[in-house]
Amino acid sequence: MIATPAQIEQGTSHDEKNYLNVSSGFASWAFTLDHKRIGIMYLVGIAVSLLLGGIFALLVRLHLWYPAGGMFDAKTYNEIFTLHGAIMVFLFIIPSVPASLGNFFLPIMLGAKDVAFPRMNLASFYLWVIGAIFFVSAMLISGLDTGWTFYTPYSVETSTAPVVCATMGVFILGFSSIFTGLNFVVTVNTMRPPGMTWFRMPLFLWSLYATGIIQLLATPVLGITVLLLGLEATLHIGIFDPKYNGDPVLFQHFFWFYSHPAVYIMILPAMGVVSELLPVYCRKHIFGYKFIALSSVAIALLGFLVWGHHMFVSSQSALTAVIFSGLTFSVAIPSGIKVFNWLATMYKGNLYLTTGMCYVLSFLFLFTIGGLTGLHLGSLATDVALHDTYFVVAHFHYVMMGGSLIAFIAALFHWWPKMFGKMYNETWGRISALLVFVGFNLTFFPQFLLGSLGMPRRYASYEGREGFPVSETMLQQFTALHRVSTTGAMILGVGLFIAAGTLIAALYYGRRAPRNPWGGATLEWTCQSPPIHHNFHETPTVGDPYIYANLEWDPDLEGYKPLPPASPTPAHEQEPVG
Amino acid sequence: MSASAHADDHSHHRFQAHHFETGEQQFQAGKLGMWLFLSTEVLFFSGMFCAYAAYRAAHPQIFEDAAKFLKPELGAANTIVLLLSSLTVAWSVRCVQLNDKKGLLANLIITLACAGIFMGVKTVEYSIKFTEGLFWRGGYTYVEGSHPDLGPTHERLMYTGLVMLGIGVLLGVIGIVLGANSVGRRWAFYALAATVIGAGVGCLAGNAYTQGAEGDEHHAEAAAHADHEHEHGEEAAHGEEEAEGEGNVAVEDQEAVEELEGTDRVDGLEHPETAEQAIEQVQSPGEIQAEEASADVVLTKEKLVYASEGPKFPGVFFSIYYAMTGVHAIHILAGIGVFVWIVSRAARDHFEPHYYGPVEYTGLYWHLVDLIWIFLFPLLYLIQ
Ligand SMILES: [Cu+2]
Repeated sequence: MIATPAQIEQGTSHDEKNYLNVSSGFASWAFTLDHKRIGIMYLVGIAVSLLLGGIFALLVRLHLWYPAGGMFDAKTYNEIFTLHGAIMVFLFIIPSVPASLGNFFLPIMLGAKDVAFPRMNLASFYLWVIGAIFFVSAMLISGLDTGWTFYTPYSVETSTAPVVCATMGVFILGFSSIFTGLNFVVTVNTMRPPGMTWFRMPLFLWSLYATGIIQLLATPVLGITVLLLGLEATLHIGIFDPKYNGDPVLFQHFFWFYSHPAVYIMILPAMGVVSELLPVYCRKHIFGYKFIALSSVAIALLGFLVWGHHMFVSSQSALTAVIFSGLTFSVAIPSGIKVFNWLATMYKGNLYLTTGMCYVLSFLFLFTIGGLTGLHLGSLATDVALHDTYFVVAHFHYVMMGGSLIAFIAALFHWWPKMFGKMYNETWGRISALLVFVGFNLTFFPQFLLGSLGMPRRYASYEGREGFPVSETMLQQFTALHRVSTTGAMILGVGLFIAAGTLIAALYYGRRAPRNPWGGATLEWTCQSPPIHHNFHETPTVGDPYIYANLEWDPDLEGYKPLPPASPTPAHEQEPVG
Repeated sequence: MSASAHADDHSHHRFQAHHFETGEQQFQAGKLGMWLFLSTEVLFFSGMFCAYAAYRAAHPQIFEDAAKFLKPELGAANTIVLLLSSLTVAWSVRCVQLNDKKGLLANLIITLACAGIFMGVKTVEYSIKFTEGLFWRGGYTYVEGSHPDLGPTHERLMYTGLVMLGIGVLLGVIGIVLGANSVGRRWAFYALAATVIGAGVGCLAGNAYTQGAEGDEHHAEAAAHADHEHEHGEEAAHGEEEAEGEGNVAVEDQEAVEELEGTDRVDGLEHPETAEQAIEQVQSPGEIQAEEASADVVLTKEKLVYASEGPKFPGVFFSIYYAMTGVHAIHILAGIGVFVWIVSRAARDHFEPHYYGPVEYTGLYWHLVDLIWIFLFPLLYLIQ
C-alpha cells in the first residue's frame, strides 16, 4: 500500500485525507479520540508552558546581574524562581516527550490505529489542562514561593491558599501522567503488530515503556504526599508539620521517592529519542540494541532505590547515606552503557548533520557533563560541600535541559515533516542548534564554578549579609560569573526562539515532506506525511527497525523509498545523493 | 485478519472498539490496564502505610492506647460485610460467564447493599468519634476523663438511618415509575435504592450496637469506679479527674502530664517552655518520687517522651486513622458509582459470555478495596 513516487509527486489532490484535514471545527479537536490530535494538543500546551517557564528563567537571570539583585524584592524573587521551576518540571519536562511525541508516534511505530484506551488518553489531556490551571493560578494569583519541592515546614507555615491550590494541581497532573503511562504500557504489551517481538521494538518504545512503568509506580506516591500535605496545611494532621508533632523529614522521603524517579520520567524518553535519531542520521544499525533497551528498564528500576541522595544533609544516618550513595553510583552503569553504545553507533558511520543530528550531538556532550557531575553530588564528602549551591543547579540543568529539552527539540525537528507534512529550513535550524549549544554552556558552565566557590542557590542577592559573608574577591568572581551566565541565557533564549520560529515557519512556507525524508526504517516512515486518520490501512508487518540497506534515496521524491522487492539487497548501505 | 479466523474466542461483539483486532485483544488490554491501575492504588495507599509504620515505630505506646478508642466489633462487622461483597462480586463474574442474567443482577445488588452497610457503619463510627472530640491532630479536643453525652448523637444517627431507609424506598419507587420504558434506568435506581437502604441498615445497626455497648461499659465502669474509690480512698483529691478514666494507659499518662504541668492543659509543643518545665520537674529525682506517689504511675523513659509531646499527641493516630479510612471510603464510594453503571448495563443485556470485561475489571477493583481494608482493620483496630 505504498504510493508510487508519481502519486506522491502529484500533491494533495491524490493524497488521502490526513488526520489534520479529515474533519474540522473546534469540536472535532476538543472531543477527538485520535492519539495524533491529542499529541498535537499536548504539544501546544507544553509549548506555552515552556514559554512561560522560560520567561521566568530569564527574569531570574536578569535579576542576578547585580549583586544586590536588580529587579525584585526577595519575596517576589522567591515566587519567580518557584514559577520557573514548578512550571518547567510539572507542566513542561514531565509531559514533554511522552505526552506529545510519544502519544503521536507510539501507536504508529506499533502499526496500530490508536493507543489501547483512547478515551482515557483524552481524559489525561484534560486533566493536564485542569491541573495546569490550578497550578498556574496558585502561583500567579496567590504567590507560591516554596520552590517546586514544597518542603515542610515552610510550605505549611506560609500562606495556605497557594500551597493547597498548587498541591491540588500537582495531584491532578499526577493522574494525567499516570493515565498516559498506563496507556503506553498496555498498548506496547498488547498491541504490537505481527513480527514485532520485544527485541524488534524501536528503542523509543522501550524508553517510553520504561517511562510508563515509573509513571505508574512513582506518581501515586506523589499523589498521596501532596494530598497529605494539603490536609496538613488546612487541617493540621500532624504528619509533616513539627508544630503538630509531625516529621518534616518524612515529607522529604515521600517527595523524593517520587521525584527522583521523576527525573528518569524526564530523561528516559529523551534517551529514547537519541537512540532513534542517531542510527538514522549515521546510516548505521544501532550498536548494542539489547543493552540500550534493557538499560532503560535497569534505570527505571534502580531509580527507585536512590532517593536518599537528596537527603544526605537531612539528618539521615551515616549508614543510610552510604547505602544511598552506593546505589546512586550504580545508576551510572546503565547510563554509561547507553552513552558508549551511542558513540559506537556513530563510529565509522556517515554522519548527516541535519538539525536533528546537531541537537543530538549537543545532547551527547551536555548529558555526559551532566551525568558526570552527578557523581560529585552522589559522593557523600563532596555533596556536603556542594549541597544547595549553584553546582546542583548547573548539574540539574545539564541533565534536564541539556538532556531532555535538547532531545525534545531534536525530536521535533526529526518528526516535524511527519507530523505536519512540511520540511523546515535546515540552515536556520542549524543556526538555532549552534546558538542553543553555545548559549547553554555559557549559562550553566559558570554555575558549576559559582557553586564550587560557595554561591548558594535560591538566593535573591549575593552582595553578602549576615550568615552569608562575601569577601571582595568573592564578590568580583560571583558578579563576573553571574553576568556570563545571564549573557548566556539571553543567547540561549534567542536560539530557542529561532528554533521555534523555524518550525512554525515550516508550517507556512515549508515544501511538502515526502514519506521518508531521512531514511528511517521504523514504521512511521512508511505511512503518509501527515498520516491518515487510522495511520495504516492494514496492520503492517515489521522486521528490524534499524536496517537501512533496503532504502534508497530518490532525488525525484527528495526522500527515501524502499528498494523494489525484485532487486537483491545490496551488501553495502545505500548512500543518499545530494 | 478475517472474522472467521477467531470466531470461537471473544470475537467481534458489538462493544468492540475499532482499534482492536479482536475482542480477546480488547479484553486482555482492559485487564492489564486494570491490574496496572490497581498497582498504582497500592502505591497510593503505601504512603499512608509508611506514615503509619513510622509513627507507630516511634510512639508504640501512644498508638496502642489511642487504638483502644476504636470499636473492634464495628470494624469486624465491616470486614465481614466487605468479604461477603467480594464473594458476591466474584459470583457475579461467574454468572455472566454462564449467561445467567438474574444471578448477575442479584449478586451485584447484594454487593451494593454491602457497600451501603459498610458506609453506614463508618458513619456511626465517625459521628461518635467527633462527638467525643477524637479528631485529627489539629482539631483534637478530647478531654481526658470527660464523658460527653452521646445521647443526641445516637438520636441523630437513628434519624439518619431511618431517613436513609425512606430515601432508599423512594428511589425504588422512582425506579418503577421512571423505568417504565427504560430497563437500564429502572435498574440503576434499584441499585441506588439497595445501596441507600444498606447504608440505613448499617447506620441503625451500628448505632444500636454502640448504644448497647455503652450501657454495658457504664455498668462496668461504675463498678470499677466503686472499687477504685474503695481502694484508694486517700486519693480523693484527684478523684474528680481520675475516677472517670476509661482504665487505659493513655488516660493515666495524660494525667501524669497533666499533673506535671500543674493541671494546666496546654499543648506541650505549642508551648515548648511548658513542656520543658515538665521534663525538668520530672528530671529532678526528688520530685519524681513525689509525683509517682501521688499519680500512681511509674515514669519510664517512654513516658517522659510522651510528656514532652503534649496531651494532643494521640491526635496523630487519629489523623492517620481518618486519612486511611477516609481515602478507603472514597474508594468504596467510587466503587458504588461504577457498580450502579454496571447494573444498568447488565439490565440492558450488554454483557454476555463473550463480553463481560467491565464486570471483571470492576470486580478486580472491588477485591483490591476489600484487600486494603483487610490490612487496615488489624493495623488500626486490633494490634495491641
Ligand atoms: Cu535524585
